[in-house]
Amino acid sequence: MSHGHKVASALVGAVLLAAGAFLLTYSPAANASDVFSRMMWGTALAAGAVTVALAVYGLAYAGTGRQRAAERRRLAASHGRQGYAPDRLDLRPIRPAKFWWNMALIMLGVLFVSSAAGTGMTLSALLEMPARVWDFSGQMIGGVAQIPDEDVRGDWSSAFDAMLESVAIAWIGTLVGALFSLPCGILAARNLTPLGTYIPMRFILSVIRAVPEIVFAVAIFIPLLGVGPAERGGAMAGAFALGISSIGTLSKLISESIEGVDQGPLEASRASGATHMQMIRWAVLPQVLPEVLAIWLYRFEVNIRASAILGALGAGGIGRLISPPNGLFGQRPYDWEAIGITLFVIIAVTMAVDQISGFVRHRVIHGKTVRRRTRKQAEAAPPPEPPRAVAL
Amino acid sequence: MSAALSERPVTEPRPEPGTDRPSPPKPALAPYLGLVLLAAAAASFFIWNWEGQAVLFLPLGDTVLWAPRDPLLGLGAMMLILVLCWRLRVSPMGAFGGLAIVVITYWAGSNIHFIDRIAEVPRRLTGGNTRDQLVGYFNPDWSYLLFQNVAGTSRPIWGEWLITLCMAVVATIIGCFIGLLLAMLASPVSSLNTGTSQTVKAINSVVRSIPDVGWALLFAAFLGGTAYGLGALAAVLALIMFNIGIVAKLLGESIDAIHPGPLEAADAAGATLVQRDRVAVLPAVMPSFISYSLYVFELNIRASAALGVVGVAGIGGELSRQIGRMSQGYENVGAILWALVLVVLMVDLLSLWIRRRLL
Repeated sequence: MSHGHKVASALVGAVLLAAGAFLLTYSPAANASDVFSRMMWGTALAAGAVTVALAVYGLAYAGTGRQRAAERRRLAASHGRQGYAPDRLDLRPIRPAKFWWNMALIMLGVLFVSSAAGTGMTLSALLEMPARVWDFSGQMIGGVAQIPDEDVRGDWSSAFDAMLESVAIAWIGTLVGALFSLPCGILAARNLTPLGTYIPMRFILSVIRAVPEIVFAVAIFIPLLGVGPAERGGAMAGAFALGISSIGTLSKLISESIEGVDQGPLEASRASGATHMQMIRWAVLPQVLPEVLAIWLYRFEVNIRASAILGALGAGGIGRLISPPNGLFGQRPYDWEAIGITLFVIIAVTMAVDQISGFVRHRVIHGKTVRRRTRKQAEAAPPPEPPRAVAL
Repeated sequence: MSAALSERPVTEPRPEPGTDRPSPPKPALAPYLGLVLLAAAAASFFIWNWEGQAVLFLPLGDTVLWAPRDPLLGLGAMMLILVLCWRLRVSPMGAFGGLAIVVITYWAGSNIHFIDRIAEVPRRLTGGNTRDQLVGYFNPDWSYLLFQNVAGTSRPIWGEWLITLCMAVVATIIGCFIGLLLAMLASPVSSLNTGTSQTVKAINSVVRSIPDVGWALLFAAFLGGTAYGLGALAAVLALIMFNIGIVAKLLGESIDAIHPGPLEAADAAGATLVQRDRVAVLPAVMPSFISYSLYVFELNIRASAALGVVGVAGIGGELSRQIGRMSQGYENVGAILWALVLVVLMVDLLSLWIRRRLL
C-alpha cells in the first residue's frame, strides 16, 4: 500500500519536473543568461536521474507482483482465524504514506543538482587540491613550530595585534548593542508595554535584523567614521556596524526572556503601589539579568567571528590583516608561514575568549556552588537551557 | 472601644513611619579595598605604556599591543564604578565584574580610538565627500542593477544574484548533512565512545573559530586560483565549513538534551548504535535540524554576499568591484546594498513560512 503511494508520488513528481525542465530549458528566457540555462540543464539532469531511478523501482515492484499477492492471501487467511497464529506476528502496523515528505525530498535533490549546476563550479579543481593542502599545511605547521627569529616575531606580534583589535571591535560593538538592546527589549516585551509602542518597536527591530551588517558598515559607518587601520577609523566603523546589527537579535532575545518572567513579583510590586519604572527595576530586572548577561556574552563570541568579514571590507581587525588588497593573501607567492602563524593566533584567541565567556556565563546563570554536573545527574535533571539558534 | 484605646499605656514614642526599617547590610570593606588596589594597578599599567611603550608579550616578540590613551580618564572611570557599586551596596563579586567591564571597555575603546573618531563625526558630516556618499546610497541606480552587465562580460548583474542564491543552496545542503553527521559523533549521547566525542568536539571548535573569510581565502589558495577571479567553488567550500561549525555545535547541544526514554527503549530492544541513532535520536532532533538548516540558509545568503569581497563569484564580487571604483559615484553600490536588504528580507520571510508549515 505504502509502496503504491511512493511509486505514484515519485512518478507524478518526476513527470512534472521533467515537463517543467523541458519547458524552461527550451523557452526563450533560458537564453537570456548563462546561470539560468545552466540551472535548467541541471534540473533536467536531476529529473532524468529521478525518472531512471523510478523506472528501476517500478520494474522491481512489478516483478514481485505474484509474491506480494501470495503474501496478501496468507495474511488475509490468518486474519480471520481465532487464537494463536504464528503469522499474526508479521502483522506490524502499516506505515503511514509520506507523500509530501517524499516529494519534498525529491524536490530538494533536484534543487541541489540544479543549483550546483547554476554556480558553475569547476569540480575538477578538487583533484589538485589534496597535494596543495599537504604542501601548504606542512609550511604552515613549520611556520608555527619554528624557533622565532626577528621576522617571525614580527609575524606573531602583528597577528596578535590584529586579533586583539578584533576583540576590541567586538567588545565595543557588543557594548553598543547591549546599551541599546535592554531598553529596546523592554519596549518590545508584550507584558510591560502597551500595544501602541510594542508594534512599532517590533517592526523596527525586525527591520534591523533583516539588514546585514556589511550594509551598515559600507553604507553608513565607513563614510561616517573612516576606513582603514584603527587610527583612521576603520575599527570604529566595524564596531558600530556590529553594534547596530546586534541590537536586533539582542532585543528579540531579551524581550522573549522578559515575556517569560514570573508574574508573582510583578503583581506584588504593582499591589504595593510601585510605578512602572520601579516595577521594572525591582521585579523584572532581577529575574532576567543573568539571562540577559548570558545573551550579551553569546553575542560577544559571535561578534568576534563577524568582525573578520568587516575587516575584509576595510573596517579594521583580523580581516584587514589577511584579506587581499594589502593583507597576507594579497600578493603571490603567499607567505604560508605567516599565514599559519596568523591562523594559529586566530584559533587560540577565539577559543580562549570562548572558554572565558563560557565560564562567566556558567557562573552567572548557575551561581558559584553548581559545578559541572556528571552525566548521570545531567540525565536525571531537566535539560538546562535550550540552544539559542538566533544568537549565533 | 475608643476608651480602651486611649487608656493604653504609651511606653515609648513610636518612630516616624519609614525610618524604623533596618538598613541593608553594607558589603565587606576589605574586598573593596582590594578592588581599589586592582584598579590602581591597572591604571598604573596603562600609565606605564601611555605613549605606546612596547610590552614584552610572550617569548614570541615584543609588540605595541596596548596603547591606551588618556589613562587618567580610565582611572577616573574605574574609581567611579567602584564608588557607584559601594553606594548601591553591590556585592564584591559584582563590583569586580563591573570593574572588569570598565577596564576592558577602556582598553578596547582606546585601542580603536573611540573618542577621536566620535569627535570627528560632525566635521565629516558637514565637509568632505561623506555627504555625497550618503546621498548616493539613498538614491540607488536601479537601472544598473536590472539591465547592465558585469563590466567586460556579457553576464547580467541579476545573474550574479542567481549565482549567490545557488551557492547558498548548495552549501546549505552539503554543510547541513555533514554537520548532522558530526553532531551525532560529537554528542556523547549518540557517539561511538567518549574519545570520539571529545575528538570531534575539539575539531569542531577549531573549524568554528576560523572565520568564513579565512576559509574562503584558504580554499581559494588551495584550489590554485588567485584570491581574485576564482569560480564559485572556493566560496561554496568556505560556506560548507562555516555551516558545519554552526550546525554541529547547535545540533550537538540539542542531541545532548533529548529525552532519554526512546534511547533506553532502543537499547532495551537490542538496537545497534546505528539503529539507535536512526530511530531514537534522529526523529527527536529532526525539527531542530530543519530549523537550524533554514537559519543557516539565511546566514549563507548574507555571508555569500560578503564573501565576494575577498574575490569569489556571486554578487559579492560585483560589490567589491563597485566599491573599488567608488570614486565614480556611489549609486551602484547603493543599488546593490538595497537589493541585498530586499533579498535577505525575502529569504527571511520564506524561511519563516517554511518553518510555520513544517514545525
